[in-house]
Amino acid sequence: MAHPDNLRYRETHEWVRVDGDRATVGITDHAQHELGDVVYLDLPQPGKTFSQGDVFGSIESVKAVSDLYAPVSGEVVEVNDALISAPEGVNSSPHDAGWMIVLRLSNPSEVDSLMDVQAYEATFGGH
Amino acid sequence: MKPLSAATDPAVQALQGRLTGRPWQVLRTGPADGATNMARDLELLEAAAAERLPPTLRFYTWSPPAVSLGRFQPEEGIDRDYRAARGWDLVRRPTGGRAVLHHLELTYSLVLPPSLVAGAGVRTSYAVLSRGLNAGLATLLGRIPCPNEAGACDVPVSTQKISGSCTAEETFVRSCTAPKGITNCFALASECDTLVPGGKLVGSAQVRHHGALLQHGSILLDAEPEAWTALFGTAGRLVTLRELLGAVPAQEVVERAVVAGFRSLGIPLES
Repeated sequence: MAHPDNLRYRETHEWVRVDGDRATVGITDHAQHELGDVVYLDLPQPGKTFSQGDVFGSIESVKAVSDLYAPVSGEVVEVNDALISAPEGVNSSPHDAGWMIVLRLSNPSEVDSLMDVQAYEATFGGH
Repeated sequence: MKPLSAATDPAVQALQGRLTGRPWQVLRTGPADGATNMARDLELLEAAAAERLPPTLRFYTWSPPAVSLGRFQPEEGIDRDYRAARGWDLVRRPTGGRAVLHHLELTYSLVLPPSLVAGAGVRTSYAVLSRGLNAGLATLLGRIPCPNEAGACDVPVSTQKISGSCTAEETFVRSCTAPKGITNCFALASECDTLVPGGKLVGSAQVRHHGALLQHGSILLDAEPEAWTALFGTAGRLVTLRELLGAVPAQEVVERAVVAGFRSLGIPLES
């Protein structure tokens, strides 16, 4: 299975890993495969707040720029600065080292609105 | 990264099926300056995102000629003095990729609403849209340009090192690690581009916005390689329709061919 079963997924291809009130956010293996080689990331500063579905940043692969959507509402408390200088980490480790931001959840019940791995892979396939 | 097969990939097949189910419009907006051209593409993208636009194929040219930068591309490495001396614009595209000189070329853009994109990925959509574009160009050329699943074009061998372990040849054909420091779109190629023996005929780029898709690209009718070299430090691997056909084709001829290419996929484009 290409996508871990301990994450929740949005239809716009972001994943969330929840730990207490912290939600780590990245994009899925399926998404990085579709994007191709990632060359640039535009991520928000800590302290910014987003509602579920807001655009929180942009990702550029060799051939396309795509919006990144907040899968849940919250305040940015951490940003993966290492990824900004080496964005290819999104391709090589989308679910681990390729995490993008950590949000402090403002509405934890939103996590329940996201897909589990079975639903995500049923919609978009294992890759 | 393994290329997608347009013939067998289910997501590619599904997207192509959706694109045939609704009438498309063709817009011919003629020559305009860079800012106007990009503003029009963005207006179309916004309208598509709001489902207020049918699927659209637009053709346009640039007057005065302009250099377009990718959305996040720094201006560094592009000769400002040369550009200014020629009276050419500089404009930023909403799409990714590297710089293009829009001069002696025809630009196409494709705009699709979210209901048709339906979450189709970047490579999936390129696989379908490049197929239409390449089928159209094939009617002009009498041969099919490298389909995007082919990695083996007959490109002249070069061993010049660009970065890391990539040779210029590998970099051009596969865009293997998207090397830094290359400013010219036509010095790189990926599976998304239209390649012909000798190099690159069309450079394309995409942006996704609220589920809608904008893909635009530059079809080289002719070229002034010295200008590309002056601007970007390298002309890249420009191949023009003039070289391939023996004469510069009329813009309308190229437009008709591209429209015919999309129709050959079963896409209902109005003329």
